[in-house]
Amino acid sequence: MGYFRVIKPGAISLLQDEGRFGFQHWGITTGGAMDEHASRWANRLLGNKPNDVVLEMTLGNVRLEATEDTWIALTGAEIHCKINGVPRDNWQSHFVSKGDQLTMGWAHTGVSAYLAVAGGFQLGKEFGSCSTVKREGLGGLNGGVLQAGDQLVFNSVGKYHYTSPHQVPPDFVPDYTRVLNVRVIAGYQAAQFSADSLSSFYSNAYVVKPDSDRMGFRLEGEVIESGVTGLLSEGISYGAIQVPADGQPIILLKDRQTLGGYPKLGSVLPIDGFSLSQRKAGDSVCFSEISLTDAQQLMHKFYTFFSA
Amino acid sequence: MDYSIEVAGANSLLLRFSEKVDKPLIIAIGQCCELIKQCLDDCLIDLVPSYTTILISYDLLKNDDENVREAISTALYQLPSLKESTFDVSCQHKQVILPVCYDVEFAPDLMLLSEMLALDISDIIRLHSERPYQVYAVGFSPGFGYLGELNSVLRMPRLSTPRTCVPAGSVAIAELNTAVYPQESPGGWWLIGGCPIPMFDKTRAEPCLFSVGDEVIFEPISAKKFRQLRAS
Repeated sequence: MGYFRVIKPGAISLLQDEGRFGFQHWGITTGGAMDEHASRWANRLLGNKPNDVVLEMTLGNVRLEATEDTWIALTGAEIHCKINGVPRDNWQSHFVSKGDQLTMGWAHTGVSAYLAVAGGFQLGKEFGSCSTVKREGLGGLNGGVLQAGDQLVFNSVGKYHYTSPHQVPPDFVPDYTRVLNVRVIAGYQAAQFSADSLSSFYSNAYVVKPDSDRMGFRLEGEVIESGVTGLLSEGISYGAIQVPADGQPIILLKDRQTLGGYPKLGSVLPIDGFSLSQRKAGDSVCFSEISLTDAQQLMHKFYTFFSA
Repeated sequence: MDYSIEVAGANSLLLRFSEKVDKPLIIAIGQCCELIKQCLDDCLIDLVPSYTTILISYDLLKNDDENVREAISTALYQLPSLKESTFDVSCQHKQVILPVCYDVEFAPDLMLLSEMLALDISDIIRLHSERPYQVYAVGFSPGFGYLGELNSVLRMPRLSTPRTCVPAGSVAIAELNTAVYPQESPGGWWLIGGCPIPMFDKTRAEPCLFSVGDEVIFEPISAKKFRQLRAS
């Protein structure tokens, strides 16, 4: 077994897998990698299982040292990774030798970068998952963000035989600077929003606010009036679009609270939620509708591709 | 049992049973969760019951919307109507007894509450602990149970300025709800006591003491007993 010694932990670096499922009835959120497109590609590049643990480096600025030879893969936000000072490409796997230093800068485009290691990072599970949820003190090495001195353990690479770097085909490398069109599955209390409100929501651009985080992305734009008051708390799905009294939508993401009492007009197509997670404060987002059948087909295709 | 189904997401449905909260309904919702678990089996990802609804998330690789709706209707067909007198609410839920010390050191709001409600502190304690409560929802944070229904004599709005830090174990009331704070957290409810037993403990065989539909009884204890229980 080897490990990466954490020299510089970065702004918000968290060990994540697919998430913690089956415990929401106790108020335990799912957590999990914010951008599954990037995290799953990182694992795929190394022949890992889709649920293997990766390091999610939000905003970057991380420095690690390897104690053993291994293979890594980098995806997601562009953080200009260097191995011993030599620049390495994103969306690609790389060989790392014992003693090598990995230096990751601040996120240039996108928000979260993913680092996968051959076989996945090795750590104990809590409630069936390694995903770190800081608010709940669950998962990761100590329930919180990465610290200097932490050891990110991986299995010895001996049984893996990589002869050349693998890279993500260019068609699958997203451009995080593009204006994002988020597809919405109408639902929840959608019928109780006025036609005017809904048409204004779908025809105007919204801007990502700086206080967006793993719980939810807060947007600013045309006010949406719901006309719904006094809703009892009810379960919140991934991507639910909640509209509080100020009429500014909040898209609830991986670390969302399990219950909420604000009216919701639907939920975003999960793969678009993953892309949204890579948008920075000030970026524009617009919305369009998608049918449930089409949404299910796209998600089926996504998960089938990554489980193959 | 009557219900409607709303789409909640690409792989989620929300079952809505009623607009009105009541005790037989929440017990029935707890029961529904068990039936749905059996019916959906390994294609179920998460179930979130709350007041009048159940959120169901399922595995899209194993099922689609149509199949899940069919499975749900099969599952719920087994449940008799709430209106039928045959629906027995007495034997279908767990009872949890929680010791509570109402001494002022654990109850910073009890004095003010007594003034505002024009009730003796002993009356507040009696009114709070004399009736069993149902768990209407678990959420906000791990192990936070929304318990009801509080005696309307004790009804107070939430604090106008929430506390930034409520100690773990605080027993609180707001509107027609009562709860025990599982973790130290911000909070806007009135603090009227302390419970020495952790509501949520990830190292315990049963990390969370109750689920939606269960019954909770508060048992008044002395500060001495509180310390004994906390130490054990």
